Amino acid sequence: MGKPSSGGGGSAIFTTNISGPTPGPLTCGTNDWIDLGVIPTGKYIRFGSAQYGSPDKSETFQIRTNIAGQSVGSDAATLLLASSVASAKTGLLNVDYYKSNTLNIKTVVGAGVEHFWLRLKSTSSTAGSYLYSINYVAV
Amino acid sequence: MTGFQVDSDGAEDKILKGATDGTQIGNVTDRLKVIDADTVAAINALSINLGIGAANIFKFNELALTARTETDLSGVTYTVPSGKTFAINSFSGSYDAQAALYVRLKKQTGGTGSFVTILRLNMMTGGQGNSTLSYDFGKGFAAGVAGDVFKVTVEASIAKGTIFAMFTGSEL
Repeated sequence: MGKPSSGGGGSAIFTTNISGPTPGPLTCGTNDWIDLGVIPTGKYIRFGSAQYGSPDKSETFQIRTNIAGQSVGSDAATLLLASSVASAKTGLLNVDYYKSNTLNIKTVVGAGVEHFWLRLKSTSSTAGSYLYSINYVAV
Repeated sequence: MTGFQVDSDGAEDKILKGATDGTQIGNVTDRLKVIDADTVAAINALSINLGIGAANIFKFNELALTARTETDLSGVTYTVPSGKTFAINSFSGSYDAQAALYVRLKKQTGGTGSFVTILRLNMMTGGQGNSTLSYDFGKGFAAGVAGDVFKVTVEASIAKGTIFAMFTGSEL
């Protein structure tokens, strides 16, 4: 039987990370959709934590999942799971989607077509830089 | 007419007729075999209450979780042998991930039908950190009779980490 996957603290849960903006847009406008990938068939994505940064303007970072059977990034084809606002004032925003197992923020169970998304919204059309780093696990 | 004493109510009192303080059955080196089920049960109950003898059943295993569905922990199934009873002394689990997980001790009465949960450990409630939980019953409690089957299952909220579980008991 194997050793614990991380030293001292037991097995890590959220072992997958996705970060950007690479290869997404380097600047955020008023409504950007970033495809985080296809939800694995028969599994769902459970979110652990994230960091968001938007030093040039106030930006809303939404975690969204496609509705079952849908695959495009749009309001009608997705559901909002969580929303956070980052700005120069907040600095780098740390978000806990797990809260010691008291939250269960997750996508739909994948059927091979559904994606999960990061959607960026802002009331300002001024271009601004941003970053995101999201930790999750496919369950 | 039997060899037992009968008093005024007419019922046999299961006392040897004519027995006195000096009545003797066999000699010192002779062996007497107890075959009465009630007597065996009474002796077992007495043994449990007195805590006679160490637990002689020790079932344990470790499992790296790969699924969330309830899974049998292999190698820990125990069937109470013919003519025996089973007392459980302890049941414990140890989990190394900060996620909710159930460890269940289940019993199948008589070796047929569904398994019923008789003990459950809820590991990592509230995500308090990696943890070990244990039920310790000291002298044990009578949990099964001949033919009953016991097993341990694991049900995880996230397929991460490794669970170790064990139970000990006394075969009487």
